[in-house]
Amino acid sequence: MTRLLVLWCPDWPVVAAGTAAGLAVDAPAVVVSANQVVVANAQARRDGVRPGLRRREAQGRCPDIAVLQADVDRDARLFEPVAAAVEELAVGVEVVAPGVVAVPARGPSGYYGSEEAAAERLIDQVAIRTGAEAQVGVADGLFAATLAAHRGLIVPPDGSAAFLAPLDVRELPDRPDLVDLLRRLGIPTLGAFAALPHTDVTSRFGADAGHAHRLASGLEQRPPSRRRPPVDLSVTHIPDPPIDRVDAAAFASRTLGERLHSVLAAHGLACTRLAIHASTANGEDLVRLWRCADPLTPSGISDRVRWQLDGWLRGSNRPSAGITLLRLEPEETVDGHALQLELWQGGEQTSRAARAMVHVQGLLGQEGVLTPTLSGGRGPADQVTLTPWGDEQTPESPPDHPWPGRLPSPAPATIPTQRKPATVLDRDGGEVGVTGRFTLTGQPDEVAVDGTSRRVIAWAGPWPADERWWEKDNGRRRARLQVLLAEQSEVENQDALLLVRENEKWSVEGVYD
Amino acid sequence: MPDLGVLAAAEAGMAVKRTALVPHPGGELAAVVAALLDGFDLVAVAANRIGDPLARKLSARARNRGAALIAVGPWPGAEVELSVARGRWSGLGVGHGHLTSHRVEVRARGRGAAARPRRTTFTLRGGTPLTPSSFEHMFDANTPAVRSEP
Repeated sequence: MTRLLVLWCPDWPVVAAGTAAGLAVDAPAVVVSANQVVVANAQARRDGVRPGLRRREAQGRCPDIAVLQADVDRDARLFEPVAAAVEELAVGVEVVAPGVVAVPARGPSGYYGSEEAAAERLIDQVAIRTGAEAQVGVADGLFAATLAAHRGLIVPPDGSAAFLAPLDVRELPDRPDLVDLLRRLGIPTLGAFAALPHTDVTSRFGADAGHAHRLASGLEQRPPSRRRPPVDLSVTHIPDPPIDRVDAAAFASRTLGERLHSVLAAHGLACTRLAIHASTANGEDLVRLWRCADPLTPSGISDRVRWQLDGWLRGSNRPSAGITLLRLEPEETVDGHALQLELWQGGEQTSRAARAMVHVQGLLGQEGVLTPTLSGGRGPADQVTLTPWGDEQTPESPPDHPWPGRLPSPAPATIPTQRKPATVLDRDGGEVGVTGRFTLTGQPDEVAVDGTSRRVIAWAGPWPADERWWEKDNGRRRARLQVLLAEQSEVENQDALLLVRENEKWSVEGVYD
Repeated sequence: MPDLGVLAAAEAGMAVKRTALVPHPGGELAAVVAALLDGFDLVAVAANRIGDPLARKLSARARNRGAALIAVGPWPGAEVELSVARGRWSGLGVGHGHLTSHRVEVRARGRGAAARPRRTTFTLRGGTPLTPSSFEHMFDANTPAVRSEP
């Protein structure tokens, strides 16, 4: 059985969500899904928050807890840098789940002298590169190695069964019914479960319990495979002459895409993660992974290959010679029937637009293309949520709830991304402020933005926006003022501004134009 | 156009669900616009300085794909140039009310059928939603750029 080194980042969904939300590492936080706690971090657990609690109950036990939404895509995306950091030191990295990577232990432990040294190096590497906390476990077999990682242990060779024997039977993954049954039968530990004869377990409780029994005995989940080894699904193309122009790349990508798709289809598979390798005449090797939510169609594969070649050949660090070898490797496959598109799904125009957006994402990165959704809120910027194309569009706050004090329509057409300071003066030249009870200290008469000052001909406000005062860090107290500035001549436009006062300073929140 | 007010655009009748934003195309502006023209019927681009040859190339691409290219700011060789003047707001008083409607004078000049400068006045915001007909009467012949206005 292969000896595996497993690197485990504790409470990864919380870490990932916290990083995305910009939370402090030591703040208590939970990730919830369908109003139930899925994962809690150590600080939250200290206050008695456990997975399975309802959200309200968790907030009751730990009032200052940060509640984050579960998002598997985000967990996986933020985990990529960790996997890459591990990959720098060890080969054959396999991401088991976001938060868990496994590598064959032989290579790194031989190179760094011992398994302890390799484990230490990997933990340091991950901490330096990504700032994530990690634990390492080494054992025979993935199940034992994962449990060893949870405890930061190195199990001696052939010691997996002995290591697992005293552990609670609840450690068996994803089988709550079986675990419950075993405990009621008086089988509290994995060792006691493993002591039962395998055939009896399988005949009484079914094949799945048989797998669990193998795990508990410290064996691999499946018996040694009697199938033929997995076929090499990659396709290779040796272009002659070498590709150095984009039109040649487009031609090569089309044939390659179709070839890969037919190879996969012959095995009843479709590809969801595609590695594109290219080698040049000067020995440069270029690799890029494309991951996509939907299984790739033939045109999807060739599009991605074309865009990637486009990016390489036109990019700032273009290879010094033409591409002499092109290889596509399906890194992740799913059953081919997942590829059957719904009959009424999309349509030609939608898929054309989607292709264009993915293309632009290839040029600018995932955050380059944003799709807006209307959400709830009072200010003009709060009422729009931008999500990178491809992610699920969820408004930050529900748009259909009443938002008392919401800015009246029409909304400003320009919302400066940078804060633009402004000064509001009254007739005597004194600055106009807003009192704690949301009244103006004077009549606005002049507004200066960017050094030019214009006379105010009409104004309304201040409109109070005292939001989230019940949250210590997120509370914001603002007052908004709409002003209409005098035109400079008969043919010029009147300018209308939305000013906002926060922390005793006016700034331009929106321009009506 | 990172500072586009999406909410205002939605109020003006833009279908938010069928919109994508590329706030910072950076140095890849030409490639990004070309890619978007392949997939979208209407592409609005804000470019401060755009070279004559590049503008011509992108215009040709838009024509070829049957897409409309709207440039916010100057664009060499544009079919029609629209500008607004004499914008007047109403609804806001001194200490009361709020902005409700915006009357503007739209001026158009361009090439071909639109060569003769024209101007018309209508309510941009808060009034009845804009329809193509409010534009069409501005020109004797319908030029493509005008018909594709949202």
